[in-house]
Amino acid sequence: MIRSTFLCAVLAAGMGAGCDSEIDPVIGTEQPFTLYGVVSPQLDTQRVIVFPIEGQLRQLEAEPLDALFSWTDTATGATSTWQDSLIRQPDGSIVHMYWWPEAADFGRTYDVRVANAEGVETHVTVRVPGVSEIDIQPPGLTSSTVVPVRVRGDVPNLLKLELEYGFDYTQSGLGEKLESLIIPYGEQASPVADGWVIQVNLARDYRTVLDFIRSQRAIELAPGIQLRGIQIRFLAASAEWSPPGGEFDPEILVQPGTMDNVENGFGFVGAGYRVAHSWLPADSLANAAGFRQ
Amino acid sequence: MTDASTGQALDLVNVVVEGMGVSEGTTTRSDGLYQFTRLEAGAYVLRASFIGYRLFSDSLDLAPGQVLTATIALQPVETELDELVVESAGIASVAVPVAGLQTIRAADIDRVPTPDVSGDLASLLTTIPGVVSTGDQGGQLFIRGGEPSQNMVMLDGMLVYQPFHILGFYSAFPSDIVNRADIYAGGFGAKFGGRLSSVIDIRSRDGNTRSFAGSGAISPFIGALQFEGPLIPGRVSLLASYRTALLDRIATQYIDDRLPFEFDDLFAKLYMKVSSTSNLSATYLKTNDSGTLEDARDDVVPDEVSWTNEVIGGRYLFLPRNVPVAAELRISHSRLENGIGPAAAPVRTSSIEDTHILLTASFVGARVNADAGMDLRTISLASELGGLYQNVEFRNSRLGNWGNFLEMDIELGEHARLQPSLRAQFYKVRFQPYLEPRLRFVWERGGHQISAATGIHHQEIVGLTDRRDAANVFTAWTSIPPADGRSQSVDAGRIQKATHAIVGYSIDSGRGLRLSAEGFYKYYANLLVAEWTAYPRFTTRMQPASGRSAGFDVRMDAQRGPIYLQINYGYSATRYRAEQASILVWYGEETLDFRPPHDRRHQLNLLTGAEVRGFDVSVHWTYGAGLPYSRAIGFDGFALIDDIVNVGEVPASRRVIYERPYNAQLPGYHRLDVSVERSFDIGRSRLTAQASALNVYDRANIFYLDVFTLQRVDQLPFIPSLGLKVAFQ
Repeated sequence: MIRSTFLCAVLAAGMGAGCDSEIDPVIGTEQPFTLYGVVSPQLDTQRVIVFPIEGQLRQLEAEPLDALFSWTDTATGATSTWQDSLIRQPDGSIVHMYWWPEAADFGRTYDVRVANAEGVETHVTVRVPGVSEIDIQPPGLTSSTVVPVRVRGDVPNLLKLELEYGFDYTQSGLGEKLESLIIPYGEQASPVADGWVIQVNLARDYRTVLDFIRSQRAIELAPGIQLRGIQIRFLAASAEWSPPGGEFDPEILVQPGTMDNVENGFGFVGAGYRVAHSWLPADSLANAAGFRQ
Repeated sequence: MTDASTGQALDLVNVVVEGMGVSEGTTTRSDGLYQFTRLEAGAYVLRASFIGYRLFSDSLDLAPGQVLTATIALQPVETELDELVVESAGIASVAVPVAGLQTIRAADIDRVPTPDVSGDLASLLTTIPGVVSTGDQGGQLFIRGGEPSQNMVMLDGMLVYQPFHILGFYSAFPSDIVNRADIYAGGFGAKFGGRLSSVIDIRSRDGNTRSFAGSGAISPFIGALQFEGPLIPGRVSLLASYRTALLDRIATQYIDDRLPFEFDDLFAKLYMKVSSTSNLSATYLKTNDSGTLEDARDDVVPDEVSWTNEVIGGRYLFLPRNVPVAAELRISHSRLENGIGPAAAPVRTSSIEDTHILLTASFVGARVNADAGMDLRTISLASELGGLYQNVEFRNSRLGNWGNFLEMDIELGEHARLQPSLRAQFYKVRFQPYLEPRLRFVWERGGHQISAATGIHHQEIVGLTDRRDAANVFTAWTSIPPADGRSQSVDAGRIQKATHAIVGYSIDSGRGLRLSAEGFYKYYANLLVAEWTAYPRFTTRMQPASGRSAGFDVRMDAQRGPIYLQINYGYSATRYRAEQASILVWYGEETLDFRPPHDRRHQLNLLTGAEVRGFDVSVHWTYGAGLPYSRAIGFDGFALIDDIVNVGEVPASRRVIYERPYNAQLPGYHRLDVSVERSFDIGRSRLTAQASALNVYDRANIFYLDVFTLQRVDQLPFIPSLGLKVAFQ
């Protein structure tokens, strides 16, 4: 075979062609790992998935990962080394999950470090929100059916905030029926000095409930809709646990760097806990909103 | 107007009628038709002239109110005769670009070196500036910024969706069956609808109605048989051609590389001269392609890509005696199936099926010609997309569209022609028609020619490719969802639109030198491209985008005696602007500007040939700047953390870490091909032998790069070849 560098050079001169036909399709990175996990006082075991960042796309093998996983409570200085478990996913692929059989503490900060054999570390600092209290306050003067709900405590973020209304009503021809409806409330929370305030608008929610029932079936209006209870629920989350637009869309979050709090690596490790609080508004308040007791 | 030896209709023949104080001229149309209207009764002389034929002259006596049909059979001249023969005064080549249009003849095709004796339209297309191919494998052409799915390729009016074979030298159109090919790189008239970028309109020859002819050819690349002849002399003829790839059986015996490519094509055309004023033809074409584009590895069976085209259609042409109009009816059915994956069970498949009815009426006047018509098309699309790292995604749709057009050809004085046209196209996405005004203009005088074209074009169907792979060859055909109020898609009702503008100039010295230059601009709105994602998967999820392509071509054709030379250079810059909602989150910008993977900035072709002592020598060198591709930082995994969960139970997937889309450029492409050919007459047969060498200096041109598996496949290495062809008549 003839390899005529000279001919190539002459013909391609001035075109910036060069005669190099090599290609380097992966830039590569010194960042060793990608981490995904949740730290929570409500979990008796803390878990973090570790993906090695590699130069080729392949399914991981069922073999040990060359990584040293350490976890430090920055308040006490206590450090533990986590163990690796191989998790086989429904599609047959393998992931490495590191775990430690203890609950996290409210308000504590933890330092997570994962080092490779060369000592290069991926790390993330995770702060668990402090304990929170729910305080249902009386309606304000301007609107007799808007109930301020205070969340007191060191909670940087409220996620997945929703209210579940339990109610019953009389269905035409079929008698009494008990149902519930979940109303997203993500837009209604505002940060205040000692936490958050959520403006629960009972009158507006009553109309939402009424529209929901009417869209499903015929309702006898005379007995009305009886309110049986309200539960407010949310995820008290660390500051970084904040998806773009408030939505957990995997098509958006999959892009590296999006909702990413890991240093010298990629991924996200969040901290938080679930909160739920139920109450039944006073009859006068429920009636003012449109419900019947 | 026909060729007396074959019965083949001749187009572009000059016809003049003189007498009664008038002298009127015209040229024959694609079916050899010509027409003069409103001639007074009296005596005339009718003359016809065409390069390579004896001059025809005859007298006409026209009675009042008479409609006269004059059928002319021009005698071709094969040897020097002492009589009046029409000869070319300039360059006996080629395709002069006129506002984006090049008309190609079989003789033009045969000038480009190919690995076998018979030429193929695909080889010539890659010598045209602005035409970017994926190389000598893959079968994809990008024309002036347009993608393969935006090109309309038609054979005798029938759509052929993926007409280029997996080995890029070959298409479904061997030069033996081609009468002419009109290649519109943009600015095409209103009779063409439903495509954004370009049109390749191929008309096949009619079979010889006077005598039998045929040929057989063999080379390490391909074996070919061709036959034609009268079924009923003078009235009914058949033209048939069959080719099959022989690489895997012959070429691999003497070169190191694997060439796992299989393809074949079968063409048949039945032509019937029903009467002196009507004819009927039926055409059938089937192509099969398959091959592995990756090198085999120990642990992985390489994916096979395959596709099959099948088209069938009929055409009836009729000249009513009482009106100066030619009426034409075409009915055709086209189908493409393609797939990629393991040969027995491809993981990604897509198909598109199309039934088309076209009715056209053509009026030929003294200074104004006009075509008016309507076409009706129904399309069925289906795709099933699976593969590594993804679930299977199904999509099916049925479409119907209807278009009406009017195309005028107006002579402005002696030197200029204006071709305004308008198309009203109805698509499923909305009730109101899409109006598509178009305009072409040509001015010629003393060897100078100025041409221009502009127009608006729409396209409803979308061909999606996975742009993250370099030189991807699988296309999933899909459609735009209608804006019916129920669709949640941002793409709903946004039909793709392109605006073209072309200006060109050429000068012919008359002494064997012609220079031409052409500039173009295309703007694409409402483009739909595959959604960008870090998941290593292919999807029909689409994102809106806009695009623009601008550039220019310069070209020199020269001929001195038996030597000809063509040098052309094309500069093109294409940019897309994606409008995916998540781009703001990812990059901090509302839109993402990028060079799409077919943005070849520079392209240079040198084509030269000569006849030396009975040998025809052809040399072709081509250079193309490297194409953009997306270079990854690395690969990791992703898990959605959206609640207080046990992450061990959260489904995790593999992920590609990209910096930005299309942030790198592949190496440039260049190659030298050479062929030497000589013919010998043996009785009534002609033997042609050809020696050729492809990729003479064995350049490792990249063809395919899977950015997920990092598999690289190069184009063909240095391959010598010897081909033989025997033809009889």
